[in-house]
Amino acid sequence: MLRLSGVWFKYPGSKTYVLEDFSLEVGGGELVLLTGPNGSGKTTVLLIAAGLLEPQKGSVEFEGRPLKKQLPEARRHIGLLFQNPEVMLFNPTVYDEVTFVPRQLSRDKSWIDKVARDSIRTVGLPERFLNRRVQELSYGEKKLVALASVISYRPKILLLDEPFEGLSRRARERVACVVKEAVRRGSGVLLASHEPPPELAGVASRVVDLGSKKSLEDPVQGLNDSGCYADSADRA
Amino acid sequence: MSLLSEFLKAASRVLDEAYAGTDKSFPHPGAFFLMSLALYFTSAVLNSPVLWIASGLYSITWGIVLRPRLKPLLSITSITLLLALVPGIPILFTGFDALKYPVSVESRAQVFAFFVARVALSPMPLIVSLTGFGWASISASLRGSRVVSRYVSKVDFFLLNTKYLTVVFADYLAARESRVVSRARSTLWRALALTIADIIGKFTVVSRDLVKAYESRCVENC
Repeated sequence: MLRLSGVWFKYPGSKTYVLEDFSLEVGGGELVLLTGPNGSGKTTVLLIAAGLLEPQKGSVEFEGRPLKKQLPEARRHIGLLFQNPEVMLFNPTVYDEVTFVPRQLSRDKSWIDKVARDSIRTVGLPERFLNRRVQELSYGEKKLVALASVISYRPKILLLDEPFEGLSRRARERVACVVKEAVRRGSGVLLASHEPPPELAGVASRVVDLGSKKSLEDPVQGLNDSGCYADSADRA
Repeated sequence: MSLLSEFLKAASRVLDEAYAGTDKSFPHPGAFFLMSLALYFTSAVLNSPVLWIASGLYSITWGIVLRPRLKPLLSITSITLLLALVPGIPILFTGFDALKYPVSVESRAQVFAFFVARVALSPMPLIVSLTGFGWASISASLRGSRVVSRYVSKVDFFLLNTKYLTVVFADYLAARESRVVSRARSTLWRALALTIADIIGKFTVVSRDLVKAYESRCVENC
């Protein structure tokens, strides 16, 4: 579904390449873990996969076609969660935040409201959170709201940058549940983390280690029907 | 091409210029910079056409010697000229400038010329100095003086703040652009405007954290 082929990338003004001849594929129903030390390029891979950065060499394809030719509409199908939720959250209330993309897709208020309620419950937060002002939330709450805002429009590809960082054990379990359910429903998930999160042990199809530049094959094992996604209406 | 990519390219060019340095050692970068700064303030404050002309000649002479980087020189000079011409146009029609000149001025064109000369020529020595040596070289050469180094540190810190804010802005812009899914230009530009408003709003917070980080490790001459 999403393919990076032979990607070379360096930031403007930099002499060294962050990524050299990097290739990666994420298919539907797959969880690919991207690991590596700080500065190894995990976030850069996610930004390239989301079409926000363009590699100097190589190609990025979504569903068999060049991604850049499909932007910005292709972002409807690609959800990117940033490591720092402060960066992501810019709307006044949680409701505005969670429905930012759905409101671009439809004017049906009842559908948008339902999406908001379902998404916030899916990440384990109560519905009353929708009325809260984003800036009043704790770091962990912001992280969950950011995740809710990304899953609200059910993207086919989820790009998650350190989704477990800074969360309590309970919240981490919730996030793991969301990831597993997304995979079970056919989304492809590319998850960047310093090291494989224990909550997803045995779930990943592959682990790509940017530190050693090798891909480790792990068989998919027992994706449980966690049932943590609240029911939602069809996509607009 | 995404807004983020465009922003990173533009920011990289600006930051490269801001942090550029050279290995020229004659004249002494620090001394030359201070002299240029003194000439700039003197010619701007004393409001004397003789000093503006002197600034212009000083800049041309040293420009030939130092061979400053052309692109930033032209960019900054264009900006100062614009800053002079735009408010100067009404003066051309009214002949009224709030300042009194030490020489008698007969016509509106003369008042206009004096105004433009004051605004555009006065800073030229400073522009030539910065584009000729680069702030990095000037800063390094001025750090030898305990008196001056405190002020130099503040400028270095300001530039550091700018670099940090650029990184923060890039992150913010990426986060917003990643959730713009409709082709409507208004959505994208609204996201960009929100990003800028965010940065302005958070400037105080971000700067304060940076100041704390700086001061916590500031032990001498800063």
